[in-house]
Amino acid sequence: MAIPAHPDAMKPRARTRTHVAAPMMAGNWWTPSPRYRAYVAYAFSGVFIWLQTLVFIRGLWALGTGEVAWNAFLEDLCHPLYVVFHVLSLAVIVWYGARTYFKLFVKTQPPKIGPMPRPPLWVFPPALAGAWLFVTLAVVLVLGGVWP
Amino acid sequence: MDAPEKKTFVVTRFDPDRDELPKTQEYEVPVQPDWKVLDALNWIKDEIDPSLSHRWSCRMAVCGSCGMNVDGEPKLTCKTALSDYGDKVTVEPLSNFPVIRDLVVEMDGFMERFQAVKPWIIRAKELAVEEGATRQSPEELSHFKQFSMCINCMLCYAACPVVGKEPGFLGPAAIALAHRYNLDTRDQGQAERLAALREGELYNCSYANECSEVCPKNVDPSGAIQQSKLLSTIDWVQGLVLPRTGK
Repeated sequence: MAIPAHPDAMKPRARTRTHVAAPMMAGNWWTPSPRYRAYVAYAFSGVFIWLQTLVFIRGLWALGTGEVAWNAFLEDLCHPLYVVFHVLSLAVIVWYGARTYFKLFVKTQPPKIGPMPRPPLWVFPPALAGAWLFVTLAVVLVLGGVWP
Repeated sequence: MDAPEKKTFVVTRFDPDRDELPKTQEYEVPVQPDWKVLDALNWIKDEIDPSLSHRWSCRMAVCGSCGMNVDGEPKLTCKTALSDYGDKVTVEPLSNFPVIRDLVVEMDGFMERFQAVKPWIIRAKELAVEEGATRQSPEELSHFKQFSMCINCMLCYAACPVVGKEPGFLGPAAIALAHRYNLDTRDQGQAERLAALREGELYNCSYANECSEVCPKNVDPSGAIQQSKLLSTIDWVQGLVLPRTGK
């Protein structure tokens, strides 16, 4: 089912010579194609980032308020609903956010990086994934008190 | 020769002199196994309904005239095999464009966007003829050649969800063309072209990547847009701290 696009979409600045039908766009544009569904899911992952930001701000507020508030915040984070939310957030942000960012990163590469020729594009996704895994592991080890 | 298979075509019709809104009309067409969508449209026009209007020219995916939505997806109809579709095929004008008649869309807005990005070589100072040609190596050519392969078929505009919602957005093909000149070593107009891109709401692209998916020439306009965003950001920051020096 098609729905009206913006009435001025692709409208010329000069007056159109004849009566035209208004531009239409697919009303269910995100459902028929797996590509579009992935795009919408990527956009939706922003909701999780927004919610995570709220949690982060609440944590900062608790930290500034005092030890009692901070401990209450930590206790809240142990609630099963919070744990489910964080696991879900991690999955959504990694699968849609990070994966899309990795693809986007490849697209932004110029033909030359400074005076150096650009490495082949296929190098970037595994390099990014490797760097991400390394940083994640390092953060987990540091926060877990295992390293250094 | 195989017996023709019958397919039903649901085609958008719009007569600007009579209709307020587009409507659809169904045609039953005996299609040959090797037919493209354009063959069926031409058969309808020749054998059933001469009033049907659609654009086409080269029939070999070069001229870019015959872009339409086939079962909801922007396609060059001369390149789209009917064997890939079911018994009922929907053919509509390209999404996001005003419709002049039937399957023919208004192209003037598209052409204006091309002009806006100054798609020509800009030199700070023209070279005298006796100074010879500005030379370019094959490697330098390879940096932008991909972006010069656009055939202006407008499929990328029909596929882009931002074009349909943001009338100020320059759109994929115009930005890819701007990027083609920005990467050209003979050109010195990058700064003014990037200013035109910013004015054309470059950053409204939300990376659906559909423009590159539907492009029949693998131009990758989405790549051009993302690279232009990066160039534009660097240019903007440089403009804050350094005096302008041409390119």
